[in-house]
Amino acid sequence: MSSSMNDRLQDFIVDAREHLSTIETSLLSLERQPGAVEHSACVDRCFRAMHSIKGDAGFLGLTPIHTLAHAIETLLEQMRERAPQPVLEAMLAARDRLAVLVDDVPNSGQIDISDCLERLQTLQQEHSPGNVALEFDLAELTKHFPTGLVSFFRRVIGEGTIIERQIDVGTCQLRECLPTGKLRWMVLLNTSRSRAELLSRLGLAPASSDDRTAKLEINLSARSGTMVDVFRRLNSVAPIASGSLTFPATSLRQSLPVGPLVWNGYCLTHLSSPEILRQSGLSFETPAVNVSQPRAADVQLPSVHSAPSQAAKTAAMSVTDDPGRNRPATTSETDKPNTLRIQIELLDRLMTLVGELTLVRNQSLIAFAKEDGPQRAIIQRLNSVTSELQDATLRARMQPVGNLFNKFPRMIRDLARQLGKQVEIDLHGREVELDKTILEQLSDPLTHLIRNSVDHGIELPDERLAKGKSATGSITLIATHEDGQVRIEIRDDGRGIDSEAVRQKAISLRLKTEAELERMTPRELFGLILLPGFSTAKKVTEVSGRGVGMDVVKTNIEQLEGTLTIDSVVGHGCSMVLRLPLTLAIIPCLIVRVNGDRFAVPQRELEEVVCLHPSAAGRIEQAYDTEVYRLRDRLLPIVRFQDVIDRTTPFTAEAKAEILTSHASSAIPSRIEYILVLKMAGRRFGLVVDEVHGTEEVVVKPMHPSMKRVGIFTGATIMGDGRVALIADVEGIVEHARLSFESVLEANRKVTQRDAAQLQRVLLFEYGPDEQFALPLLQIRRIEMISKDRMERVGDHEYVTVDGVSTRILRLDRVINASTPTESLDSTARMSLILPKFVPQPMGLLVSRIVDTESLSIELQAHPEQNQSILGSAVVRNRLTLFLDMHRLTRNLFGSEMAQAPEQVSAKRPKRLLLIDDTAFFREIVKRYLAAEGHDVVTAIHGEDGLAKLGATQGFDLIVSDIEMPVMDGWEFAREARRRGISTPILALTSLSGTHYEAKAKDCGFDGFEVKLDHDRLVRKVAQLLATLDLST
Amino acid sequence: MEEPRLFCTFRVDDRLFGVDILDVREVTTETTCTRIAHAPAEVLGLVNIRGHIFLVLDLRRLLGMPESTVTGNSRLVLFKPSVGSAFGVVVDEIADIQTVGSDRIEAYSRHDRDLAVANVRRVDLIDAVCRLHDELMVVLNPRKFLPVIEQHLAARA
Repeated sequence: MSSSMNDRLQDFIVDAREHLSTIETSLLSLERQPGAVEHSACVDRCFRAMHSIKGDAGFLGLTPIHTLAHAIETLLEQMRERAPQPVLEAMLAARDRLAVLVDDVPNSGQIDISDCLERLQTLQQEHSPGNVALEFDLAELTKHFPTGLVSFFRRVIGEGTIIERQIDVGTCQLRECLPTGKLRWMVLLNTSRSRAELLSRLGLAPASSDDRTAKLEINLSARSGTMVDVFRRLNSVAPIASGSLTFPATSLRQSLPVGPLVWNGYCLTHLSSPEILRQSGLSFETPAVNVSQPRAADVQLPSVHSAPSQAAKTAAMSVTDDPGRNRPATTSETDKPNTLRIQIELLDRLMTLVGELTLVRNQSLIAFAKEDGPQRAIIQRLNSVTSELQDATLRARMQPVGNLFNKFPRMIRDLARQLGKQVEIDLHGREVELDKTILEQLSDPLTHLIRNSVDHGIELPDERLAKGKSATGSITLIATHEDGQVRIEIRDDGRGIDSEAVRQKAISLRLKTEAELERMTPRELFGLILLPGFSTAKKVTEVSGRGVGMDVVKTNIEQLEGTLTIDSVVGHGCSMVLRLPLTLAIIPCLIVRVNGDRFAVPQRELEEVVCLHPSAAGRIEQAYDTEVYRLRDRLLPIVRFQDVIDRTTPFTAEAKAEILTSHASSAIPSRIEYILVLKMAGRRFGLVVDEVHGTEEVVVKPMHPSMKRVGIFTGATIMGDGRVALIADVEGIVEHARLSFESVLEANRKVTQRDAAQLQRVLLFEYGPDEQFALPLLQIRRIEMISKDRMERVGDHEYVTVDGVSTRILRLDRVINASTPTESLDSTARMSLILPKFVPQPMGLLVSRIVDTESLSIELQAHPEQNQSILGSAVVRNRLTLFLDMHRLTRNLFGSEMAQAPEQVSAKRPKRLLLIDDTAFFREIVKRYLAAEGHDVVTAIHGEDGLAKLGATQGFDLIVSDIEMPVMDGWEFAREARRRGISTPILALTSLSGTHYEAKAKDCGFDGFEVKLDHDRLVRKVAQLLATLDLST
Repeated sequence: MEEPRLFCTFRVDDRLFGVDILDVREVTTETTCTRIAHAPAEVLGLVNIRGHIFLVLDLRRLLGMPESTVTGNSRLVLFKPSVGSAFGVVVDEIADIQTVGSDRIEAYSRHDRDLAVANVRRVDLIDAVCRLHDELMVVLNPRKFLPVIEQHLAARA
């Protein structure tokens, strides 16, 4: 085939597809029984489209397409005035067949279309000119034919062939008597005679049948006043010829029906239906359209509704409160000529070029930034034009969602029929635009959701009536813009989702425990149905309900960077809301740097950024196999981007251990890092990066096909400086790092427990610029701000007056090897003075800066510079922090001036002491105090441990125990020890104070009660107790 | 006589290589790449050529030759889409375009000691050899380049 021929064929296919969709829409409009004007407009549109296909196909020699199109066209010709349902049905089927042929033009010769042609031909004969539709009132006719109707029917048969017939009976019970009122017989007769001729031959005056009747439908439950009143008013305007009541199927014998009570009837009048209602004062104060509001029911079967003569003879207006129903469905069909088809490739190329132009723009902006010449204005114009061009090009990729929505009316119609349901669809916001690629990928998930709504949501007509709803279910598709995203809602007024069923299912599948389900919001609960294998449908239907699909829908939508939420009220319906980005081509990203390389992290997943500054609160800790960061009292699992980059294979347990060890050993306290708090599928984690550069809208380029296996990036982008940056795939990174959220959750629980028992609060401060120091808050009386000019020098010592007391100033660099603060020349510069508790003489610790207070539960490490005044060191907030021994500092300060009183009471022989404290820090301090007195100190971490140590080793002279401890507290320990007959003296050492506690301590068996961290009192008390012991032995 | 073939030639580790000029899209001086973490060693990274992103391979590594750094003489040879999607190779130095009669092109056989290309380990990437008047040109098949990378990635999984 020559290339020009091929081009032509391509053009034909594109055109034909468009025509076919026009035909479909038009046929569906015809099905809704529009008015005469619109009917003929629809037929015309259909006709034109089909004619074009036929013409083109004939020209290209596509015989099967041509033949089929011709057959459809012929049948269409006969539908100029009316379109009976069977014909429409056949036309739709034929259109579908034609679509198959068009989709596969090269093989169209092989596709069998004979059955389709046959069906069309049969219908064509049936509906060929000469078919006359008649409608008779049989009750009326009996008056004309006193001998009975048999002779009448015989005459009718004699006039031609009956193609379709139907009897419409009024409200009555056939079992009891013959129907009263009108008995309408509608017949479609194939005859060569005209209507008038026919009527006269049948012995009927043409006028008698041409009595105008108006069809009315009144929702009685929707109005106040009695029924009698309504009918009286109606009858005064137009005599009621016949009527019937429809109400939900309940037994009238037991109760009155609940739900809508609708009267359908005919009036003998020349007035139009709305006119009747207006004149009788019944014209509708239409209630606002509300999906859950029961509708006026139209329970007639479609074939009755479309009885051919009806449209011609009666003003068949159905007055319902649905404004969308009779609205012309042509808006989208008429505004087509304004558009132009463009090749996707061309558009993509345009996009690329615009991107490049943006780059040039950026470069020129940099180049001219410092100049203030005439170029500046030019560059600025280039800047704005480029931005607009970029904007416009992006918009060129946008398509109205109507393109996608338009396929649903047909789908719903077919589906509803297949399931024996009545469903109406309403489309809103067709003009809302979405990126082409998104729109294409949205088709499948949206189709699935709508199928679900029709299949599971909308009930069968009987069921709906029984529930007091209208027999016809309604599905509404609404597209709107919302917060820079497109929101698509699929709403139905069906049975809704039973949250109880979801709950039961979740329990039976062991997805969640009952306690977890209790705490879930309804929306979260409904979110469960999006999990694989989750279907609450009681039976599997052909359409849906196998429990597969919803998870696929969710995945599809997530791939589009969208979200799906479900809301539902049992019995009233369900609403599914999709939120999608306008375009995938440009996404806002946070630009970060890791080890010198730039990366873009999509901002969609980003919740916040935490700066790990050495002076800021918080630091990265380790829990099990993962690093964690405590973010507002929740542990956040941490992944370091650098580790992910360094390791090409997904993390194994060994790799994780290696990573942990390396970070534990090589922590640089002064290093500033950033944690990106990222959220995915409800789970949060932190991604550690070196630098954060701010946000940028980046144009996403897909990853090179050969690099698709590299899972940690989703694509690449070109930055302002022309270099390529990779876009991080957050999910891929989590996957690669094998991040275990579970162990962190576990740790979360444990840590909170541990915290309760072991947390100690310390004050962090600086003296010189190099070190950070810590002191337990328990040892601090208060902090005083002093200015330098208040300090006085007496000999070698400095003093300041606080509360009228001359207080000795301690400068850390004088007593330990610490850096000296950079002296401020300003004599009024203020410094902080820490006033400690438990000191023999008034003194204050001079500090240059108070950092913060911090709750810690850490093990102190021996400080390499073994100084007596330093308890040990630990990394706090990423800084090495020195924990000071206040007692030693004081000793060093006052030196020999101090009375060495406690030592004098020291025991004759070394004593063995058992020290019980759960807080490592305090344990260390107290142990040092006691060891300094020459005692041999054994430690235990809680009461039970203490008892064990007591059992294992004999010969303790004294037990010093904390009160508040996990596992077994001090009270219990003392009681238990006494119960076991241990007579060793026990000293309570606690931060609790008050006579109440002292009394309780005595009750429990303690021999003494001292406040923590008062060195001198403790030492004195210990010595005292030991002395008593020595005396008694 | 058949039509002569044109080869774009370049040097890698002082040896002359050539690829069919019909496969070459362009030769550029742009060699500043963005590294791709987790990519095989043969991948130098991604480069932006007038708004298009190309994958850059290191021909030295690809052929299993001794490593070297990108120098001022280094050039990026980009291939046409028919060869493989958006990629190119960095070569040490670009050389002339050679017109060779097809009679002078010999199929490469690894057993042919005379033609052995000592420093090339990935001989499967060699399409043919061609004796020019003063030296031997090794004709490479760039269509085999990307599959090598893909295999490496697949083998890791």
